[in-house]
Amino acid sequence: MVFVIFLFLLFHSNGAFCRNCRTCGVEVDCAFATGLYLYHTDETVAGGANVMIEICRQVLDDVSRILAHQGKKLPNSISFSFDNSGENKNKFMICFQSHLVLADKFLDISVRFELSNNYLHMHFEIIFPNLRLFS
Amino acid sequence: MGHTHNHLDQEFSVLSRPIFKAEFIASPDALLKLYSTAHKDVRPLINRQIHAVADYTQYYAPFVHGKLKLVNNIIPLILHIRRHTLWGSTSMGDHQSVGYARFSVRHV
Repeated sequence: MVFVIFLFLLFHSNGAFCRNCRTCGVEVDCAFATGLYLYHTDETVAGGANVMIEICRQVLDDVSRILAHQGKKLPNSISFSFDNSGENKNKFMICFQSHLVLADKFLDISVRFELSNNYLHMHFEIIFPNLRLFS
Repeated sequence: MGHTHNHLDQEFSVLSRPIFKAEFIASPDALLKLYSTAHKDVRPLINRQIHAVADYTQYYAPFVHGKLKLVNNIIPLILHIRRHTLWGSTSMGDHQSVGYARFSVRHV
């Protein structure tokens, strides 16, 4: 199972009636649960590690629910691919992932922080030019 | 940039179209509706607004080493977390598996 988590910002505006919205897109590659997952937050929800951990938790819940609907379980190994930013690369996120292992949810977790914007010649960086148009 | 026409490029260009066409998006729920109807065939499996977030930093604070600095090059770009067979705790190491560092997570 591979999670690819990437962030993009929407509707950054100083208008009086505009609300800053943020969308986190997660690409999941796991059998029946393969697809695009979108999670939205706005300015009423604080950012930082809490949001990213919550999104990871919700992704795991959603994937396990979809797999359970097909009579399947979550696999033993999981691979996260994060953007190389402070929100994802912090002690609490690693603590959450270690907690998953301690709780016997997964035997093996590999984490990659390799989604540096505009530095990788892979498909992730292609997303960002389109999404910059919104900001 | 943006012209390789792979699947992610195509998916997100489709998501941007209704936003540019819309004159005014009144609420986050309207944005979710735009996203859910942007794709005709391949739609997001989950499209959800997060209204509240738990305070995970406070929850994990007692289990995090206070002096552990995870900045710059201390955390490798690729790391591996698995249960250590000898100590029974989780360990964290880089992808080269050289010199595993004990990760300070206590058993709850």
